[in-house]
Amino acid sequence: MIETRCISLAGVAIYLFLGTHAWAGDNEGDVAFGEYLSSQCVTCHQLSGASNGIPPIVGWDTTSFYQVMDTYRQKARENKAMQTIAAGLSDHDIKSLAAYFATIETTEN
Amino acid sequence: MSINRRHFNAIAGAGALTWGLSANAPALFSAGKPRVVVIGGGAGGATAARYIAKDSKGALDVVLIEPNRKYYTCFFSNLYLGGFRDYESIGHTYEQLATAHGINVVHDWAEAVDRDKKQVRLASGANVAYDRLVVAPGIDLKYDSVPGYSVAASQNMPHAWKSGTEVALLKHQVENMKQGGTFVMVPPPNPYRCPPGPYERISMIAHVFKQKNPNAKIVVLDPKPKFSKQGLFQEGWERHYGGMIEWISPDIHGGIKGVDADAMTVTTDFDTFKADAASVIPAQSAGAIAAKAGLTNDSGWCPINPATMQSTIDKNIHVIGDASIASAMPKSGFSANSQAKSAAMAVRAALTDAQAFPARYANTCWSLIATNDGVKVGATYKAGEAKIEPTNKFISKTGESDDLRMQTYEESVGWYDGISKDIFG
Repeated sequence: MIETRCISLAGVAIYLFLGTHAWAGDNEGDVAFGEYLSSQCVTCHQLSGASNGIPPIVGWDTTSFYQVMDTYRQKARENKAMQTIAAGLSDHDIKSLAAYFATIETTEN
Repeated sequence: MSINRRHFNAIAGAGALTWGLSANAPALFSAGKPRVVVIGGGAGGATAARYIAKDSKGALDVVLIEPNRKYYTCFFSNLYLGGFRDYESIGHTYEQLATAHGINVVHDWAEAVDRDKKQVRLASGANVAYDRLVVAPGIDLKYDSVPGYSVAASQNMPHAWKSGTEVALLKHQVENMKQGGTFVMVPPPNPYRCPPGPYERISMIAHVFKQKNPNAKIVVLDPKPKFSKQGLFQEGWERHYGGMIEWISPDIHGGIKGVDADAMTVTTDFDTFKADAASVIPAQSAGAIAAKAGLTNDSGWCPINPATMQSTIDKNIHVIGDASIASAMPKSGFSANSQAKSAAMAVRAALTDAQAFPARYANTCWSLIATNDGVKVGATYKAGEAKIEPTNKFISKTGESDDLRMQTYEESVGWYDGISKDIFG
């Protein structure tokens, strides 16, 4: 556990450095925050990547994920449920979701 | 291990080594971990138990109290009634909650809650102590809200509002109703579980009649002057079942005066209706244990803090799902699942060093009107000062294309698979 904590501490330091200097904190997703937000998504979209009327959203590259969600947010892509969900998400929210879902590998087709 | 702001603050304030040891101490040296007890293994309770156990990674003991060994969901029970699903496809066991997440699933009834001693008494007589309690008992039926209705009367006029064998009984009666007979439905007054549910049920019964009993009639004696997705349902009823369904508003029938389950009649101010088969869904309240625990107000439902789903009566208790007063959020399995995640996060933040983010809620209710004709209504919500408040919402439109309606139905099938795994693992 102590090793894990040290790695965590290093992670915090890198996060703060990059956050304050390079990206002003909003251009990269926060995986932990994305994991929290993802609990809304996984009511419908399965973490295994299984799809049956609801498309899989795990294992995407972060740029594609952002683009699709942003298109829903602008109502340029059809699906009322997704437009409504996306309307409540900030850029940082979407990037955090993208960062989290990118860490999940499909285990089922 | 993910980055965690609370960890960072603790490290900065106390020094990494000291903090690391003290934070680990309870798990390493304490015989008893903090214990969370969850009453009710439905969409709310099972989700809460699963998320608390999964995300606390062994730091908390989780006990789930649920009398049934297999849980039949209310959502999609109408599709079973209509012949679109088989019975077993809406049944779920608790095996995964035990094997994948280490949850102690106790098949017993919670009979009382001693809030001073912080323990739950089971019907078997045993007591289970808790540090936090999640109460998710769903609804109870107020049989006496319809004069003449009772548990005995529900044999001939099933409410079938808790799924499982009750719906099987109603299905049997629908499928065996005499040719050209009349089915009478009495929907419940607000607030109740699953606002579009009675009207999806009417649609599914009409679907069965269209195939097996084409001259049958359905009379709906509603205590409410309007209902969920009304325009969508009424358009669909006309389109698919033209003339079979007669929905009568209380403005016309004057109010439900009573039922007679032996004579199979429903009496209103206006007339007495003779039924060949019937479903009477009475008024509802929070599941009985909520009132026994003193968690309900005069309305019969449980007031909550919108940010955490904590009872406003006892901060050591969270009430989620149908039993809670969630304001704009309808009483649905989706809502219960959403509320469970907020409660789970609040419980973990209270008992471990987990971080709590601001609560966000969502709901979507899909309904099937006929084969491949699905509609939906939904919204996102946030915790306001005193209430859960909607942030964005949507509803299907009348006159949508067949393709879109089919896609909406297919989406609901995918949702059922997704939420079932999210609840039961």
